[in-house]
Amino acid sequence: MGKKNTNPAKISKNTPLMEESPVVSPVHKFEITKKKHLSLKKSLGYAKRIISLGKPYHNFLYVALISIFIQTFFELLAPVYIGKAIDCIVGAGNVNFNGVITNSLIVIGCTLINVLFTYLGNFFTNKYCFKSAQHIRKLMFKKFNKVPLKFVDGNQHGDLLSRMINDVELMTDGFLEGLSSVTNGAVTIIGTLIFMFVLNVPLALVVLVLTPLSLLISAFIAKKSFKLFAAQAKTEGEINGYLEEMISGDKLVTAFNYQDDAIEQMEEINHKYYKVAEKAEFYSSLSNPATRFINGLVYIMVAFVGAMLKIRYDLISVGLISSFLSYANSFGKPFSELSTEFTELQAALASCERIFTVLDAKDEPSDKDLTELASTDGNVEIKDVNFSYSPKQKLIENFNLKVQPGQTIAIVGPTGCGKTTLINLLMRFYDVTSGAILVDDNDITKITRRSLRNKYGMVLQETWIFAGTIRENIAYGKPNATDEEIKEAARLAGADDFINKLTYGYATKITEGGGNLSAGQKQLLCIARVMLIKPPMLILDEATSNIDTRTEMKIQNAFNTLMTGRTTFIVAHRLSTIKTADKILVMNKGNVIEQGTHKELLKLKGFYYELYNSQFSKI
Amino acid sequence: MFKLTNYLKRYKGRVVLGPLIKFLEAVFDLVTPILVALILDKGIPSGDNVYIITVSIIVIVMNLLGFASAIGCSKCASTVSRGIGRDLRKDMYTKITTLSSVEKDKYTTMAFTNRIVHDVQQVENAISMTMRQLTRAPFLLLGSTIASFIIDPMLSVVFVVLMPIILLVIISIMKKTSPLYLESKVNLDNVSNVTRENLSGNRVVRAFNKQEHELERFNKVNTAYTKSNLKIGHISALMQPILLLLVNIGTIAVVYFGGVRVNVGGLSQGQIISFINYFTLISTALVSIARIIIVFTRTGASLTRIGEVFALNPSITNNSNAILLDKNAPSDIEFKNVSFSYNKVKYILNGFSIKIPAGSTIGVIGGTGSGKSTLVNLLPRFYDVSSGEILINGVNIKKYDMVSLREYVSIVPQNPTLFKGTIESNLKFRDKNASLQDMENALKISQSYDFVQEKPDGIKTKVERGGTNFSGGQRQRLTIARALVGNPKILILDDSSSALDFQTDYKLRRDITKNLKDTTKIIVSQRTNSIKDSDIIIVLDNGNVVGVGKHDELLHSCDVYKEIYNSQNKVEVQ
Repeated sequence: MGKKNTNPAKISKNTPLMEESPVVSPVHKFEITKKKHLSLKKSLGYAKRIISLGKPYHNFLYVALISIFIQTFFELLAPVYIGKAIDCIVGAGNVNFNGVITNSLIVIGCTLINVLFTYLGNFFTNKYCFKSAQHIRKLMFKKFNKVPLKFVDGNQHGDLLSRMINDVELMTDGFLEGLSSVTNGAVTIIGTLIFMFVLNVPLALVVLVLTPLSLLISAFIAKKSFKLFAAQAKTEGEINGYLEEMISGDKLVTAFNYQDDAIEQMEEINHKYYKVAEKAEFYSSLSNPATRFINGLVYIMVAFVGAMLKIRYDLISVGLISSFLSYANSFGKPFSELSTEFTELQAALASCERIFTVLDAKDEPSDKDLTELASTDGNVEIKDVNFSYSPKQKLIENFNLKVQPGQTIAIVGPTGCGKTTLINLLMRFYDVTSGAILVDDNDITKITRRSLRNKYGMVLQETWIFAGTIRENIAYGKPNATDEEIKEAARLAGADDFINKLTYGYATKITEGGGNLSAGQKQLLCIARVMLIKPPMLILDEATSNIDTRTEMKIQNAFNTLMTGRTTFIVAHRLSTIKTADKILVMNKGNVIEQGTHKELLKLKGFYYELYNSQFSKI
Repeated sequence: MFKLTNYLKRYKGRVVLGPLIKFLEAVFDLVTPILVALILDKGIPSGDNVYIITVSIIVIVMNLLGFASAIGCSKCASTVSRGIGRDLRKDMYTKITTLSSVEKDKYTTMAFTNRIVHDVQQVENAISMTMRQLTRAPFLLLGSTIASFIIDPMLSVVFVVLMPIILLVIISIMKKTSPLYLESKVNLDNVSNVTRENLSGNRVVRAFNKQEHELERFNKVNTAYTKSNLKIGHISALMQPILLLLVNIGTIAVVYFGGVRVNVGGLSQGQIISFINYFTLISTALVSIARIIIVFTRTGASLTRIGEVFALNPSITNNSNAILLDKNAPSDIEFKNVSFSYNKVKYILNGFSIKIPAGSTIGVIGGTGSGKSTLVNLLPRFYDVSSGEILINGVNIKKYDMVSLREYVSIVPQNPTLFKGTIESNLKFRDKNASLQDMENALKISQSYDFVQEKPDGIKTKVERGGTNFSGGQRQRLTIARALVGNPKILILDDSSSALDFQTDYKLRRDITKNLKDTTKIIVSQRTNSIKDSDIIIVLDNGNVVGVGKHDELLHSCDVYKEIYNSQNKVEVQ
């Protein structure tokens, strides 16, 4: 008890954990492969590795295992003395009370030791398991912030999250807790056998012969129900997915009178689910009666053979039969537990593999030994840069650009042309394939990422607001900012107005993902965040795309102030916002195909000219 | 009102049969110790081989029959519980489809799906567990007690004393842990929220060099989660040893007092062994009973949540003598003194009136949150007006049959939602019997024909859930195509061309005007370009109608309109 049920708070595997966040760049999927079959050697390797990960907590494990040994030993010893006590009670007037009391006291002693060590065993198993799990989750979280961004971009976040939550949980259940129940089971089985053989060989043989039957049946049920549960989980995912799709799109269902069809389709999946769930439930519920059945057989066989031995050869006492009967009762249990454990172990191994693929992801090249970029005027040079996300698909080729301090560089072009990629390279989210990017003549791969990124203020199209107050969100880059500074930044960003209208003003708590704010408001907060830190260089990646044009006009001034004297890179599809740039780069398919000022480019009557007119032609 | 008994009634045969046959197993379980005691007490002293063999065979047969009855009961339990689950899921979903937006807004999608999937599962498990255990455990408890009383009433006192103590211990431990499970669940949610945030904002975290800070946040929630798990673990770890202690104390008491009884000739040795057996039966039965009690309390919460869904009543329903809206009738629309509010505090529309002649094009413009979508949601009756009335061809829309009204009005909502299936299955959403020509026509008008043709599977191209395998612009065009199938008389485009470039947007509007002459078109947009050619433009600001008229008039008379126009066309103005 208390082992299997400690963790029901799992996220169901098929509950979509989150909206799949849009991948910012067209990165090739960083496939995390999943193999179906695990060899024994590999499994052992995983086991070794998982156990070694919990190294700081190994003392808990040792104490737990020793406790289990002691506990099991005394658990097995008690029936012997209960049997002996019974043997002291022969019949009327023929009861050896001294014997009964002595043996009873021994049983009490055994029980007390047993109780103590059972608790210790449980206690330290828990400690070992939960602490190790905590440690592994921490390692994974650290990893998420150390791997190249490519890894985070290229994997579905829901999947990464599920590795950290569900797989770590499954691993703990199957592997770590399994360690203690397997030990307990094995010690019980071996111990019982030894005790039984010491007490009486023929009766022990009866039990030994009948046990494979128990093993066979429980293994069959466990295997069958494991498969069915897997199928059930899959269908449950289908139902979940269908309901989510239909309920979130319910306006359309209503608008188009689609209710009956939707119900019909739902019924189809619902029935499929019924079929598999019913079977899964049926098979798994047989496990207890089956164990009882086998135990019953062993029980009566022990009684029968015991009785025969007593009559024919008088080799045995009635009390001894009683001890055997109680062993027979407890002997079957570990087998059914072990077979369940085995299926859980398989699931745990698969989970281990999924955990290790995360932990084994290569870190970004280290920043160690790199120098700090102390300060910068905002001199940026891009020299012969080539870059692609995957070797198969070339993206940026032979790119050159010189930016003087304080200049504003605008980057325009159709979706997927490489605009965002350029930003990724400037911030060193990705490293160039060849060539170099220089800031004040320092190759950015030769300076620490921290000091480079410090110099940029970045506002992205994808707004990122975390659960916390508005104040905390604005002060993200400068946690010790004063209230005045924060208010000033918000005012400059045009966010002050709406913040003041909120009931709690700057102390308003934002729910996760910023659910209680509009897209535009979130973007204003992100802008305020940058306004606060006043970095020497700016990157604005479609920073105003979620704001309606009237509001945009109002904060344009703030942007202008911020941009004065700062080197700025702007990505935009709204051409009106970038008309005043010092240089406009027109990108298409990874190449800069035109560059110059707005006027120069219009004169060129090329790609930019067309883009511009498709936006503003009078149609 | 929702009552589980109504569902149980549908399966009453099996609901009764299952526990009944399970009863058989329990009876056999109870008789076995008596028979074994007979072997030891009668068979051995008399040395009667035949007697021992006969009794043994009887026990084996009973054991087999017991197993068979358990299988039968399991089958009953699994079909009944999962059957009721299936019925519940169907009824709940059907209920949800009848609700109107007013009720649905109160719950999130997740809240509904969780109720249909997880809460129903909880109920299923409770039903099946109850059916399998309800007769067995109490019967074993009762039977063992009675049997022991028959063997020796004096010795049974041991049971009577220990039973309530054991039950109390089990229940109090379980009771203590169940609120902790909730706590642990909350903590787990925190762990996943922090991680999810970190993953989605990974760029920002790195840009601001906040990795350390994020790790600290994570450590906090991770530690809290581990702590709550340890708390549960440590409390449940008590259960096993305490039970063990109580059971062994009981056993020793039986042996000692049994010895006293044997000494005076009131009891035999074999009967003591039977007693010990009954005691084991009783303690396992007590564990099952405690489990059932806990499952019941947990299921209570699930039943309440399921009941909430059934208690919702659609506020927008058909009039008792609703009239059909003729699919081909012209589409004059009139708003008469229409006011609307979601919460009766802040009004989005206030006594708004307008007459829209059939076949005209109406533009609705305003910033985010100005009430544009609300205005158009009133037409297909997603919401009903708070006061005033909306008339189609002179008849209040509340008097029309809702199905016919919604066949008549077609809306393209703001979020371009496509459903899993194929392009074709999506196009047939509105009209199941649409011909290929109808669909191709709709694709052409919505400017989707070309890109659909370019796909190798054309109209049969698979659509992933949410339409993720199409770009934003393509999704928007396909949702427009879907709304065009079935010749609607009123077409509403709710900001549904925002992802299109200006050229495509223009062609779209041109083709809609050309091909849907009789259809009244209502176009909601943030771009003045998209609506400036409309016959009437409605300008909304912060929930108020601040201007109604044509483009040129509004440029002069409406400041908000002018500002919006200028912000988008500054280049030309300057």
